[in-house]
Parts: sequence; structure tokens; C-alpha cells
Amino acid sequence: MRSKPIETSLSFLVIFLCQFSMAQEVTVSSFVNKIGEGTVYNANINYRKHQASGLMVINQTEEGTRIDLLSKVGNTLLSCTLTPEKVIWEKFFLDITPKRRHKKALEKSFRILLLLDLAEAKTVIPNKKNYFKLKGNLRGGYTLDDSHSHVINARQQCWLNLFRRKVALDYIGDNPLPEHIELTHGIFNFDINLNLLD
Amino acid sequence: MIRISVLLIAFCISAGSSFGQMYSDLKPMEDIAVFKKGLTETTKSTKTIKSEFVQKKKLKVMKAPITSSGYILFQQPQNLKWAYSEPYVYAIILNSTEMIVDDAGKINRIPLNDNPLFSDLSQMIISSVEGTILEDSRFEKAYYQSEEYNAVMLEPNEADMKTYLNKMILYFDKTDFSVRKIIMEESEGNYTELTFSNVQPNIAIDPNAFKAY
Repeated sequence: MRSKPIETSLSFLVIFLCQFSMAQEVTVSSFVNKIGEGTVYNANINYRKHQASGLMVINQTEEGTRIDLLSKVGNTLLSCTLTPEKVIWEKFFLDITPKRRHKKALEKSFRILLLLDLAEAKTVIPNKKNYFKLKGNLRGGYTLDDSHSHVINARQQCWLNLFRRKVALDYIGDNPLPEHIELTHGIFNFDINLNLLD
Repeated sequence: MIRISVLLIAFCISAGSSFGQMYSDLKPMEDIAVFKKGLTETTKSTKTIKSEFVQKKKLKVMKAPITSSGYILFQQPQNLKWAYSEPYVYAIILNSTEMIVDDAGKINRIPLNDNPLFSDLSQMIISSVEGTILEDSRFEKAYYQSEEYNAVMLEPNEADMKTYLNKMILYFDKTDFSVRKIIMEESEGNYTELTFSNVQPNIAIDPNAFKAY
């Protein structure tokens, strides 16, 4: 008979804790999940002293996330499809035969640029500072805006800060797609700037 | 055996129909000599061209094309300005020695002597606008006509060029022989279509238009 109030208190505590933890739970995913038939960004790519511009077309296909990088005059410079496990290259900068490490570096840049690891992670629990990390294979740190509706910063987890790729994303109004995306890879003087085309 | 034959026939019909849909209005040209003579005379007498254009880039993974527009300026012998004004500001200026890229004010100069690929592209763009690409021996040519246009289909002979161009179709006005449309097909379902309007031959063009500051 005496244990009843304790049991009741414990039940309340469990319910309270469950509700508290559910209040902290926010579903976050990449903006590429909201891309329909195709989204076009004006793209500027800088590598050391070299500068190139073009159009980056992002599509969600049955196989994965497809990227087509076009010159402004229309030629397709690069085409690839990124799946959670691999990247399928269709075209790589016209006649250039790439080195494996260049392809790998570009793949890593595309994955963080489009927050593709988040496309796989369904739910995360951000802390009070709106910052959270993905662990395991999908390693990265992400910052959400105050309303928890958009990822505004992302960075790759790396043993040395110098080698980290960092991404900043800006949004306008209710548009779920970022208006501006900037990737920087400091030590290699490599950056990609994307501006959403109307 | 019958199944294989049926599959082959179905494949041929589908391949033929995709070609047919895109170029369904074209039939073999009746008098190629007359067309070539008219084009040669027009090319010789054309010193400058000013024209507006609409560019549609079609990717097989997208239903709607990516559309941009702008203007071109051409001046004999080798000056061409290809300027986009919508939805981005971007221009390529070509002359006999360099390609200048003006990306919303950021200027990038590419010497053509050091870049055979850019040199080839530059020459191809200029000769397409000028109409002299028909004299280029690196292409196989086929001549067609429709109600509105004379058309020449060019297929590159060189393997290097085939990596970025499967075929190109130039549409010429039947009366003044000016280039009115260019379709550059990269691969099945992926192509760029340029349609020219307000074509003004032999008007005065300020030489400073071909400079970048």
C-alpha cells in the first residue's frame, strides 16, 4: 500500500522525461530532399589562382543525387550521381583524366556542400546551442538557425582543423532551398560559391 | 530468334523516333550547289553582325530547359562577343589570340596559343556564327531543308571532339542565308539550342565592344 505513491511519482517522472526528450527532438534533413525535378545554381569555383564559373544543376533521381556542372555556353563539364555508398562519374571536365585523389576530394566537397550525409540521417537531437554532430560514418558538425528549420553551417569532422571543409548556407523567406551556399577548404585555397537562379 | 528481331526492330523504331521528333521537319536539301553559292556570297559580303539570342539547355534529367538570353556582336575577321544578360551577366570575347571571359566584371584572359581545346572551341564558335564552318574538314556534313530553313548537320570526325559534341545542326534563313538557329547535341537527350532574332548584318559596331576592362 505504501509503495503506491512512489510508483505514481516514478511514472510521472518517466512520462515527464519522455516528454522533455521528445521536445528536444528535431527532424533535420538536407535541402536536397526538397529538390524536385531540378534546381539550378549559378556556380563560381576558385582553386588557387584559377577561377571558373558555370551552372550547377542538382536533381534527385532514382539512383541518388545527380550533379551536372555546365559551362554558361551550355557544354556539360561534369556529371555525377552521388549515392550513400558511392559516386558514379559520367563526365569529368571534358578531356581531363583525373587522379583518384582529385575525384575523392571533389566527392567529399559535394557531399558536405549539399549536406548529403543529412539526407541519410533522419532525426537528430540538437543541443541548446543549435549545434549537433553526426557520428560514425556520417561525421560532421551542423548548426541550425534559431527556428530549427534550416541548417546554416556545416563542417566536416577532421582530425586537423586546417583540413576541414566548411559550408555556410543563407535562406530567404519560406524557401526551403538555400539562396546562397559557400564551401571553403582553407588550406587548399579551394572554394565553391552557389547562388540560386530564379 | 523472332524475339530478338522484334527487340531490334523496336530499338530501331525508338532510336529513329527520337531523332525524328527533334528534326522531324527536315528533309534532304534539293539543291545543295545553290545553297553553297548563296552562303559563300553572304559570308563574303558580311563584315559585321549584331543579333539577339535565346539559349535553351536541355538535359535529359530535366523536363524544362534552362533558358538564358543575350546578344552577339561579330566583326570580320575574328572578333566575336557573346554576351548573356539574363538570368546572369556573363560574356565571352574571342579574337585571334585570346579568349576573354567577363564574369559579371571579373576578367579572365585565356591565351589561345597555349590552349588547343579553347582554340578549337573559339574557332568553331566564330565559324558557326559566320557560316564558314561548312568548309571545316573535321566534320561530316549532311544537307537538309524545311519550310523555313536550310539546315546543315555536322558530325565531328575526331574522337577528341566527339567527347563534347555528338553533332551540330546549323539552320540558315532561306532568303538572306544568315544563321538563325544552332543545335549542339552532346549526347542523346542533352543539347543546347540557340535561336537568333533581330539579326542585323553590316551595321557599325564600336571596336571597344570587343575589349574588356
